Amino acid sequence: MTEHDTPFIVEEWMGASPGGHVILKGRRCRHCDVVLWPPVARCEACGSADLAPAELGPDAELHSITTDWTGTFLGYPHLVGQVRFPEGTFVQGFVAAPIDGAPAIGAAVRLVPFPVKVQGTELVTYAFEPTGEQ
Amino acid sequence: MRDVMVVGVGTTRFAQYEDRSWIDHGVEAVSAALTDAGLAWTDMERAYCGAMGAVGPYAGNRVGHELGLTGVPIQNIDNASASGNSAFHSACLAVGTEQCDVAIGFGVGQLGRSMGNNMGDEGQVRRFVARAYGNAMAIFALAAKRRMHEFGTPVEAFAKIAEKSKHYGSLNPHSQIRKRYTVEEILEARPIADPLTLPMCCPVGDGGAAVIVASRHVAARLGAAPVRVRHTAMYGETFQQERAWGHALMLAEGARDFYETAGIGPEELDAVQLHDATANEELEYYEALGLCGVGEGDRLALDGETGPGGRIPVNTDGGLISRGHPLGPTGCAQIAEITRQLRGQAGPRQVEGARTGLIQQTGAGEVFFLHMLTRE
Ligand SMILES: [Zn+2]
Repeated sequence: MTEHDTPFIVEEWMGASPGGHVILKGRRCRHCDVVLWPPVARCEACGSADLAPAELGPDAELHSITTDWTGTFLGYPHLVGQVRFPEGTFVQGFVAAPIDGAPAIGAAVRLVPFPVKVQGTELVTYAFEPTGEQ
Repeated sequence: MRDVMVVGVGTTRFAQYEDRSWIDHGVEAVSAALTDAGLAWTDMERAYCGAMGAVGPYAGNRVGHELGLTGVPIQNIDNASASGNSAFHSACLAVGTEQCDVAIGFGVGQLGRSMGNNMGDEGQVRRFVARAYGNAMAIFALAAKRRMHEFGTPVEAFAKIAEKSKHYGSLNPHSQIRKRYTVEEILEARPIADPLTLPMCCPVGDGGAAVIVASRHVAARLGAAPVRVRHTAMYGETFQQERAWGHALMLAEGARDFYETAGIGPEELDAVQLHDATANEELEYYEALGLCGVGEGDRLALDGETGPGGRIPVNTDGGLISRGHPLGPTGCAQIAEITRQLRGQAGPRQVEGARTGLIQQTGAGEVFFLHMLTRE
């Protein structure tokens, strides 16, 4: 649950973090040290089952960004981004910014709660919010 | 493995149809390939059908029912965009390993009416929504934007590829989109996910395509133009953490292995078919396939080297973004086009003197096929 009691869209994938941010619940491979998200049963890089819980975020760097003009899922045009975490893991998601205020590639972002609706149910996923720093 | 020859090809026009089913497309494509080869359905000893799950189970058998219950065993394959390539690859292996003398690979698809409800149950939908995975074109757009950032690639390079594709599509009666566009029209068209506009993205549609392969002695008996499957190979996804969009890196690894085994390198190719779900994907694969060096794809596109009269024409039938991409049949349509080029039957889009062609296909980024055909 988020602090506002709206359920996360996939509870085992994400959680609340102090300061109103969101973290992603991944796995670190004890064999090859790769950090994977979403969580997996075996390491995608080496096949090891020796995985430890690992948190990603809330800080990341914007790797790429686009405007989805078709508005898939949200019903209106919106930003979609891809970030790289310090652990080297890439993740795609919504960007919490207006289209005309889109952050540039390389911008610092933080994971924040982002409301979405799936088949009429109000849920929360993560989004990348620019911190204002490069 | 013994030599395998392409003896028959058939394609339907890819488009969105209200009055035809994917079964109709399958029957038309297989029948066209049989006519092209001078063979009958009763001559087929093995059949392989590529189709995406959305058309329903055992798609190949449902087409086979319309053609005749001759006892030919039909194997169904779902490998996303590469389903048709899988079918062709399997047919080649069946003939190459002497399981039979004649085999057919075909594909069917009906994307226009089958994709909307294809995301699965609510749990699956939630997993898509969570990551903003709704618009497949946005994933390619993210790769395009990153490329522009890293290499300084101008958007005109993507537009030029789309313009080339539409030009070739206008020359192909089986192309879904036959309208030509200027670079300016492409840049000003409806945005899908920036920098990609509608003409830079593949349409959805229905269709069928088929390829018949045979042993050398059967091909000789048929008097077929000697088009040989020089090499065919399948590669699986490898873990990539170097780049968010690792398709091109994986393909580059596979291509090196493929050229070495084939004994023919990229500099000897006359025509190429590749998976261009979007114009920027095509550009990435120019480099991955070694048609130019890394970072040189922009120049190759902008100079028109992959278009009519260029150094290495690519997607001469219009490719995914003009000919269309109903998934199941796409791979067989690619092989049909290279076969027509090597036979000198490609009409106004003919690459003069083409003798060696390469086909590349990606299935959901999780499987890659490469096939090389040569004219003897
Ligand atoms: Zn590992």
